[in-house]
Formats: sequence, structure tokens, C-alpha cells
Amino acid sequence: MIKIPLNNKTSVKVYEGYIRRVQRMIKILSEENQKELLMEINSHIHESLKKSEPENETNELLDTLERLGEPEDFLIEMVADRKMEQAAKTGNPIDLLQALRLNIGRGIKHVLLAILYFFSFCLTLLVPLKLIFPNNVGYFKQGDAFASFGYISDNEDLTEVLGWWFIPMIIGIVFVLYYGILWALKTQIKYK
Amino acid sequence: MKDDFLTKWNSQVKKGLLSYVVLSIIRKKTCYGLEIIEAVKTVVDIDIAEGTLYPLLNRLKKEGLVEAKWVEQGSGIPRKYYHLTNDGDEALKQMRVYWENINLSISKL
Repeated sequence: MIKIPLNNKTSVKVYEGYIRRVQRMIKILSEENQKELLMEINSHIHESLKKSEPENETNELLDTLERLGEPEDFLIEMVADRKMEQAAKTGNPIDLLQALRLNIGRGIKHVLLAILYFFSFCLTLLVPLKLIFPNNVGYFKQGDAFASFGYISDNEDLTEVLGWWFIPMIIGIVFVLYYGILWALKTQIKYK
Repeated sequence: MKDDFLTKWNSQVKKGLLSYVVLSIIRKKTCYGLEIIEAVKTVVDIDIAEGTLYPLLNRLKKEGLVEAKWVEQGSGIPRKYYHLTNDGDEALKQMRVYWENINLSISKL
């Protein structure tokens, strides 16, 4: 982004402060998206100031920024949307977590997806736990009846039925859940 | 109380019509962000933060109703110009018909 040339020191301070707030808001996005949003806001400020007299630069800049609004308010929707697109595209778990966090207030669907994500994360933790405590993690039965699934500290009278198959089964479930979440996001982006 | 109600109602109607107004402006000519905002303010005297129109443009772009292109300027700071797509033109026609119908129905009340 090319910085707007300003004559007055106060204007430079105000402008750079605002740009820094924008950068903080969008730093969660990909480089390409950050560049695009920053360029658009910078262009808006530049075009607004072009009509002003140099002696009124600071006042005009302050007016422009006030009319534009707080970056924390008007950017939140665009950041949430673009993060969602980025997560659906890359499939990166961190992108997905950030996208769900940003969009959690935007409907029950996102809340359900966030719960599924958390559930997948908890299931994933069972894999290392199974390796460390093979007798305490698994699918347990008491006689013929289901008794417990996951980690139990006291496994007396219980039989773990899956053995080491527990690990590929968990990986399979997590895989299905994770790609289910990504599929739901992609569908939403496509049909929104 | 009555004034408060009317102010809120006015603002809701204007916000509801923003997409229609923005598409109509872009249909006439390709415009950059600030140009669209200024034109919107001329058509509907609305008191909203200018920044809130960018998420709207972003939504219209995602829906495939508008497209955007960066155009270099002598200053070195480019402008992002928005233009209507064929889908946008079609959507605008349908919005116009809907708006005229609803106007007609309401005027009969």
C-alpha cells in the first residue's frame, strides 16, 4: 500500500494511527485479503482528502475518518466473511477455528459447527491418551451392555472391546466430522 | 415518541433499500467506493458510517451482482471501480418490478 502524502505532522500521526487500527483488525486474514482491504480504505481516505484545502488537512482527515467510522465496527463483517472463505479454501484447522470464532454470533448454524469443532478436538485428544493409557481409554462394556466411551480412571469390571482399533476409528470419526464442517461452510458460501 | 418512531422507521426503510440504490447507481456508470457513497447520500439522505457501505459492496460482489477492478491513478494510489454484472442487471430489473408492485399496492391502501 502506498501511503498518502500528508504535509502536517498531526495529520500523519492521525492517519498512521487509523491505518494501524485497520491493520490490527485484518491481520487475521491472508496477505492478499489484507492488501485488498487496506488498499480500499487507503484509497477512500485519499479520494476524500483530494478535495480538501492543504491548510485544512488535519480537520478534513479527522472528518473523513469520522465519516468512515471505527475500523473495529465496519470491518468486522468483511473480516468474518473473508476468514470463512479462507478457512473453507485452505481447510487449515487454525483458519477454521478463527472463522468459527468470528462468525459465532451470526446464527445457530455457526454455533453448531463450533460445537462440532470442539467435539472433534476432544476426540483427537483421545489418540495420544490411548497411547499413554491403553487400558483406560477406549470403548468399554460391562457384560454385554455399553458402559463408557473415552477416558475412564477406574476400569474395574469393564472390558475395552476395540483395542488398538480405537485409534483408526477415532481418526475416521474426526476426519468425517472435520470435512463435514468444511463442507457445511463451503455450501454456505456458495448459496449465501 | 412519535418522532422517535418515525426516525427509526425512516432509517430502516433507507437501509433496506441500500442494495437497490447502490445497484442502480453502479448500473448508470462504473464507480469507485467514495463516488458510490456520495451518490447514495444524494439519493437517500442517510446518516450511516461510510465504512458500512464497503461490507455491502463486498456482499454484492460475493453474490456475483457486481465486479470490481483496480485502476491505477497518477497519484500512485489506485481506485477500485465497481461495475454491474449481467446477473446484477437482471437482479436489479427484478428488484425494480418488485418495488413498483409494492409501491402500487401500498398506494391503494
